[in-house]
Amino acid sequence: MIIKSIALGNVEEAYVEERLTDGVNIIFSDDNNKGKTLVMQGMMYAMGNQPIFPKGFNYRSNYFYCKAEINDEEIEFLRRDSSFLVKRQGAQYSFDNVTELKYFLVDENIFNIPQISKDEHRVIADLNLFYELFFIGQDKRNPSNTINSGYNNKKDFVNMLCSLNGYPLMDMEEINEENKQRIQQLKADIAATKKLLKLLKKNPDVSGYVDKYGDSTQFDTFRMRVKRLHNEIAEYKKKRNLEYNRKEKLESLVQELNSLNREIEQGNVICAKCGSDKIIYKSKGISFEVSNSYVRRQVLSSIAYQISQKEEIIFLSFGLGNVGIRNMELILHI
Amino acid sequence: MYRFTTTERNNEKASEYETKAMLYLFGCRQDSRDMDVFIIDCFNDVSGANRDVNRLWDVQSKGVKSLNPKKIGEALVTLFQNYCSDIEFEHYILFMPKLKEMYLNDEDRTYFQIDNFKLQYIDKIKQGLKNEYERRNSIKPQETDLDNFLQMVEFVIAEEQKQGYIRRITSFRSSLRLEEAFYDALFEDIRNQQTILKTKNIDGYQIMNAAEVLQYEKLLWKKEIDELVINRILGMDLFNSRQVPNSFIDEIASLDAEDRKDVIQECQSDIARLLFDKNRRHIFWRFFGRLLSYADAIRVESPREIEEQIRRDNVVIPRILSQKSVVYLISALKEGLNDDN
Repeated sequence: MIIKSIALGNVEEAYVEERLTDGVNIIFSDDNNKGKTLVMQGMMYAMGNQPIFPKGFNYRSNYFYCKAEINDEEIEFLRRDSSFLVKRQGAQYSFDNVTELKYFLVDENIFNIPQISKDEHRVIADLNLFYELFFIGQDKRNPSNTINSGYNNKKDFVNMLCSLNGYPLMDMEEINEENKQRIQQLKADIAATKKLLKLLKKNPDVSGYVDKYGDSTQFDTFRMRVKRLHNEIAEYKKKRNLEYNRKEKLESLVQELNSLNREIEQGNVICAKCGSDKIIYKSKGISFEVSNSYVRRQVLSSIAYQISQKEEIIFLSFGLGNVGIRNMELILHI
Repeated sequence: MYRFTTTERNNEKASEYETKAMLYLFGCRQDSRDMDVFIIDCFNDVSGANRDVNRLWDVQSKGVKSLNPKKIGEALVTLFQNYCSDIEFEHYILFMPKLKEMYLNDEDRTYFQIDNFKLQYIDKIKQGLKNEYERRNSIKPQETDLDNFLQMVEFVIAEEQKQGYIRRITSFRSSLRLEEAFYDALFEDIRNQQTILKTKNIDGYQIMNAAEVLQYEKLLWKKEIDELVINRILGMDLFNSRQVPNSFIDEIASLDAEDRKDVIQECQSDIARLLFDKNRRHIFWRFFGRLLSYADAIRVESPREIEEQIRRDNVVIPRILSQKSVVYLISALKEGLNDDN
């Protein structure tokens, strides 16, 4: 993959980097905060990476563009928030989310992305994981936890190797980063609580006042978090239901199409005078079939494809919804 | 054990060449535009004609490997008989596979006249034709007729691939890269239709002028084939969610993202139902033909305007299609008609 040009911005301000050459390119500046990182991350974001922009940069209201030569073929990506436009060989394709883009890149053999299993489902690895391979962060950060850290783990790495080499995927249990962090967090909580208990014993008046104040601010943040999570969960549920409906509709469409394609045959006509079955039906004009088997196969296979794509979106939003619910449970100490 | 070797194979090859010959008339000649209809197996394997059937292109197709000059002469006999008949043909064309190289002066040409044959072979061709004519008619042909006829005959070398013929007869373009197998299947559709027409027997019937041939309905109209090709390409493009026809975007611009998805899926589903409904093909083709007669308007006007127009003109729309689906269908047509690639 050779990056040809990168651009980002909106109607008020924009930056276009077209000076890239086919060799090694170095982007530098004398000072910090000049936008080097934005250019690099904008490039990956345009091609479907997770947003990893510096805080304070409102990426949602900006457009990101990247032109790359992939397998001797020029492809242009344009992204705003979760919508993509891809231009390839004069044709434009639009996508509503990263998953659709991912499937496109895989189906058209643009990137060869391995399959891994997530929560007992076989999925194609996310583009984030793929772009990690190309990105080395600053300082001592290592690429495996710069982008979307914690989502992919050692197990996924093993599965990736399996998938790339044609072995069946492995499922193995382990204490992952997420659990480790949680254990640490709980330990820290215990320590903090112990301190608080000590303070309470020593000076009941002060602690009572602090408790009250702390309680109300804590409650406010708690309320905000619950509200936000509720909205997120509702959003995912809505999305899931819509996609589920569409999937159901497509499935019944397939059945309907198959039944439509049967020619109705009911008995036959004979001549009443001589009994001959050589009756000629004379009609003007065409009797071409409305479609041939090749076209019908194409229609059916693309419906099947859409169904499977919807299944993944349903599964994903289910998973993400679950993350929301889990967070909620944590907060509510259920 | 008994092994079948010959029965259908030759038939298939022969009919393949007849279809290629027809498609050659349709899209590969300078004067292709002047033809409106193909007459199947009446005067000859295929004859092209204009609407009034007062201009005729007569084609003999010979899908036989290893033609030698004598066989070429024999193959010309029907064309020659037509030349001698009361009906006037503008062109006499022999459509055949690539010849062994040594017969020709310039081997690279795919379209030539008798003068491209080396001198010693021209006589052999003439002799072959003469003998075959005598065998069939039991009289000797006029020497001057033979010479004049041979000066007029056009020889056309067929292409091996079917794909090219199909591509040349339509300017309608798919947004997908279609595989060879698609073109083969489409070629097959046309070939089967041609074969059905061939089985209508008119042996012994007489006509006084060429136009009367229309009554036998052994015809394929260019328009029909054109509609067929567009229909098939459209079918391939249909369930391609990544590429909604550009002009359809206006139709759904005011809806939110989720509603848009629903509308698109419904339209695609409706059209899929239309393309799978075997039992209403007459309704379909009548509608599709009427719709394509608006091709020029579709290129420039918005799909919604066209949809309103056809309703005003009382075009019968298949009941399977909703108003939006019709707009979607027109948008898809617009896309294919306007693609200049």
